[in-house]
Amino acid sequence: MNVFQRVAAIPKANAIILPAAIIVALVTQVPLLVTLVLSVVKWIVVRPDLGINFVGLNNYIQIFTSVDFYSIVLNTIALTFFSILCCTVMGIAFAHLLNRRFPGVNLARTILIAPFFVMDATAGIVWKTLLLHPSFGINGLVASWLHVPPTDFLGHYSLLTVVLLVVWQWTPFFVLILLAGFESISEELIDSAKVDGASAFRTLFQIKIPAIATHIEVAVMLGLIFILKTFGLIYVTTAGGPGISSTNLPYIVYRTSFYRWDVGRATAMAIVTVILTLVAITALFGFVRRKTREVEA
Amino acid sequence: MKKTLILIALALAILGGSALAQSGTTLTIATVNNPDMVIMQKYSAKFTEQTGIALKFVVLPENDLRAKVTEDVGLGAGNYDIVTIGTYDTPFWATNNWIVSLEPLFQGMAADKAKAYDRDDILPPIRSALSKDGQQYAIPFYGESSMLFYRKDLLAAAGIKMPEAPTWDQVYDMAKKLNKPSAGQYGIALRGLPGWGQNMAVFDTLINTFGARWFDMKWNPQFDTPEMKKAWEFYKKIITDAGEPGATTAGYTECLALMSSGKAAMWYDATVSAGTLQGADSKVKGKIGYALAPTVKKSNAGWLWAWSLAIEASSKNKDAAFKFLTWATSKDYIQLIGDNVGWAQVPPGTRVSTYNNPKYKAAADFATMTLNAIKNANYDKPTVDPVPYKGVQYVSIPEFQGLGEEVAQELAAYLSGNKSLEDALAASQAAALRVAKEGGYLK
Repeated sequence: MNVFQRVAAIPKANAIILPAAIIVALVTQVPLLVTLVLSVVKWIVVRPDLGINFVGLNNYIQIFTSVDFYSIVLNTIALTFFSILCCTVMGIAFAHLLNRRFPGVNLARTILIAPFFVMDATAGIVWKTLLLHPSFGINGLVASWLHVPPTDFLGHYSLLTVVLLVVWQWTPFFVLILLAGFESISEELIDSAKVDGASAFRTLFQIKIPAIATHIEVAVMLGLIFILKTFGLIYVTTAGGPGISSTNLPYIVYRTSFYRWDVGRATAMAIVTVILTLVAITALFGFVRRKTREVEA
Repeated sequence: MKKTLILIALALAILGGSALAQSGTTLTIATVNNPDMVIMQKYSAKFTEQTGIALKFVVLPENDLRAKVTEDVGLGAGNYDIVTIGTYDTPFWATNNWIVSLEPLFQGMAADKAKAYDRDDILPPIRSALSKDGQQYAIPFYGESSMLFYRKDLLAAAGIKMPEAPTWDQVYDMAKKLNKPSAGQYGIALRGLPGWGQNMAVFDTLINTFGARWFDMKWNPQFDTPEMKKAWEFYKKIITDAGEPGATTAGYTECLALMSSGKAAMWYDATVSAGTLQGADSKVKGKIGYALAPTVKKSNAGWLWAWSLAIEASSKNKDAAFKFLTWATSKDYIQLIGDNVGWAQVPPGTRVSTYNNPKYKAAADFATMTLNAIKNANYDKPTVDPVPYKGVQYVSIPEFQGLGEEVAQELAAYLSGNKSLEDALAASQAAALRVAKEGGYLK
């Protein structure tokens, strides 16, 4: 059977999706293959005289034998975990507060979700210069009112400050999803709980939150994907420093690519980042699924 | 007679054809978003009027520009005809054949145009820094060194007299006296923001003048020497005792804002900042004094830098690009900006004639000090002990972008107290050793 006969033998329904499948494969798999190939070469863009040489797994070995790499992985985990934890808790709290009728509720909702629509770079610069800067920011102003030296947030608490900014920016996203969840709970269910004498506290933790478990799952999954690749906020606020104290995996890939111009090492890091991200997402997905089943049971 | 007419007609046709060909040309220029370049972009319509050559600007911040144009030449994309690069980039871009030598183009210039352009008027230290093996590869658009800015009024009130060439110990003592944080006044503004073009630019001049160096003649890293340790300790001491709070978030822009808003009594930075400090928006206009870069063991501690224009090797419009280069760096351009924008705003640090111009001297009280700072900068021999590299505020190797960034982060970690001096120096030593080995420099 030649190629044409094989193509002719493909069921028509499958043939219809073939062009789309080819485009998707070209757009997603070809870059991945190129990245894999580049990760096993030594190629310093600014040193063309050294050429492009095959080095096997040397780039990967150098990454895994670097102490800094483990600190950066820990930074990434800490940044992602604490950001998602705070976003989830605050998302539930704010969504619950906004899930009721009171004058100005729509205005309150709009104000609360506004940070989500501010660009990373803009948010970072505003926070860095107008709010947190010890000389120009509100930070310095408040410190002078209190007659105490201003706190150097981005110098002394860099990772914590990045977490704060990520939480500020992403909590509205969690609120949007969880608010939809709270609004989907039937009034009858809540009324029944009230009739049975359940307190507001008990209603929240034993009825409402379990009822929105799927929404929490979606918010956490999407939050994980987006927060893991935080770049813009770090770029404009701390540049990953001081030292590597606020460097995460995407930022070190950028630094290796555009300061060291080491294509091999940067692509190897990118591959490792993708693998770690997939592992984290799969693990979290399994955990959330188990918890959801337990709650549903 | 007929033959002569035919020859003349033919010559006119060729010249006309060539002019027509150029009038349809569009040059793509990658440039940096600083005030002088923005002015150039604004007045570039005059060039198009004169030559018919259209211009398309891609304007980016310094770090983004370097990444973008390096990507362009390194990967052979060939998107730009003209690129804006610095004294750091020019030598190795020339070695990599990413930009063309300008010698053949200068030689092809008509005698009257060459005379009007007056290439020998370009300041020799800057021209030398933009050349390799005697061939010039880029033309400076503006040049700078570093110097100490100080508030004459505050120093006078404190009874302090600033020497023309102060030492760092003297600067420290003055900064301590003038440091009044409770009144919103810091003794000195110094860059602490990590980056090889940020804190390292200033700190490298301290490394040199303290008698330290990045590498010895065999490319062995030198971060474990007592001189290097002293330089790091001093920088932290002066910033902690008399500098701005949150120094690791203060780069060039923040320090300029501190000085121009009257919050700093002194500032050690680029000479080009003098124009802004004496500008109409500055709160300290008329109150600024100037001194040469502070020293310890080595005199002539100031840096040398020039944002310059070069032609990409892949450009198909090299003649048109050269026309633009010689227009934007000509005496006529300086006259144009002086007449239309103001003499204090003309591109400084490139031509001797600018500093002989009475209008410039009258408008810019910093002119003499800037010229002296540039002339004093020791680009070829930046350190006390001999080194195998050139460059004052950088090491002239392609890998310095990455190495400088790593050491800059270590310095910031030490300044902010996140790392001990020993750990920061050990990490810097390891990074320098890796670069020396991987780059094939270590002997």
